[in-house]
Parts: sequence; structure tokens; C-alpha cells
Amino acid sequence: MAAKNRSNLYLYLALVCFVGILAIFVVDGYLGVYDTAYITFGEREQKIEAYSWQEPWVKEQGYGIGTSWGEAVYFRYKIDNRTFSTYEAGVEASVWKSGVNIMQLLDESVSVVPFKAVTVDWKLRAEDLGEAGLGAGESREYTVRIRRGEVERKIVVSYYVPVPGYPEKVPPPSVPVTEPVR
Amino acid sequence: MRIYILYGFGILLCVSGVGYLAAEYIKNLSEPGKLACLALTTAMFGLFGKYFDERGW
Repeated sequence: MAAKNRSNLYLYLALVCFVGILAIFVVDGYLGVYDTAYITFGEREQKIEAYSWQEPWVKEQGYGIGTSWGEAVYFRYKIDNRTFSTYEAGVEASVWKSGVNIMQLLDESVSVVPFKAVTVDWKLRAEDLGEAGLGAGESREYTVRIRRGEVERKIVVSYYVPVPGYPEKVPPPSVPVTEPVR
Repeated sequence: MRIYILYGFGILLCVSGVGYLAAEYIKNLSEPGKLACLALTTAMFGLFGKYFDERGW
């Protein structure tokens, strides 16, 4: 009887260890400093979740968005501190083109108390980039780099000018249309 | 006999599935979390071993 109770105790302890592993998965996944970006252009808001930054293609190439030239792009960057100490860091946002820093959008220090979030925002306007406008059908890409302490996030903004649709009145052909010779 | 083969196949799939999920999830854990998980996993297998040992397996 005592041996059976002891063997059951081993089983219960093993199950407690298993529950402990699951609890670590949940708690460790929740704790940490997380950042979420909200990008608004046109009438749409795009949310880049904290886990999206971990995607291999986002890490390598940056998160891509596209908008028409002349359209302002509004950024909101939320820093969620889920730790037991105050999080302090400098947040910088800048625009890069071909590895050259074109413009500084934001440079400020943030201090986030435990289990609270802080949001910083800035705006990117195409006319502030100091480059010539685009022709119809052309596009141009810029990288918005967000640096928070040691962490860097990249968002690739692709500007384009849409090709106009069909003309309202079709111009007459300059040469007479003839039947093809067979 | 066939039912035991099915049981074995099911258990194998469950273990490999849980193992895959754990391997994916553990990448996002912090270093102390990984260490604690390792210690608990070791203890869990040790205790399972003792349990089956006590039962005479």
C-alpha cells in the first residue's frame, strides 16, 4: 500500500513538473518588452503586431507597405512594458534611401513604468523627403528605421503613382486600319 | 495486435507533435525560462522513471 502511494506520488510530482513547464511557457511568453506599430495611410490602418517583427522575412527585408505619392503616412509606435522594472530607452525613427539617412522623423527618450504602455507617433510626408515627384506608373521605396535601444525595426514604404485609366475618348488611329494579308 | 500498432502510431504522432511545438515555442523563451524548462523536463522524466520503476515495469 505504501509502495503504491509512493509510486503515485512520483506520478503526481511528474504531472506537477509538466504543469510547471506549461506555466513557464505562458508566463515567459507574456513577460517582456513588446512593440507594436500602427501605420495609417489613406483610409486604412495597418497594425504590425509584436510577433510579426520576428518573422524571418520581416527581419531581413523589413515590413512593406505601399501608398500613393503625396499621401501622408502616420505612424504610431506602442511600447508595452510587461516587466517588473521601469523600461527606459531612446526611440529614433529615420528615413533611409540606399543606405543614406535622408531625414530624422523622431528622436526622444521614453520611460515606461511596469505593465504600462507608451505610444509615440510621427508623420512621414512625401514632400518632406526633398526628392522630385514621380511620374505616372513610377514607384520609389524608402526605409523607415525605428531604433529602440538595441532593437531596430524596418518598414519599407513604397510610393507609387498610379497609371491613369483609359482615356475618356479614344483617339483615332493615325494610319488607316487594313485587313492583314493572309 | 493491430490495435496496439494503432495505439503506438497515435502515441508517436502525439509525442512528435508536442515535441515540434515545444521546439518552436522554446525559441521565444528567455534564457532563465529555457533553463527552468530544462530542469523541470529532467525532473519530470526522472519522476516518470521512478513511477514506472515502482510499478515494476
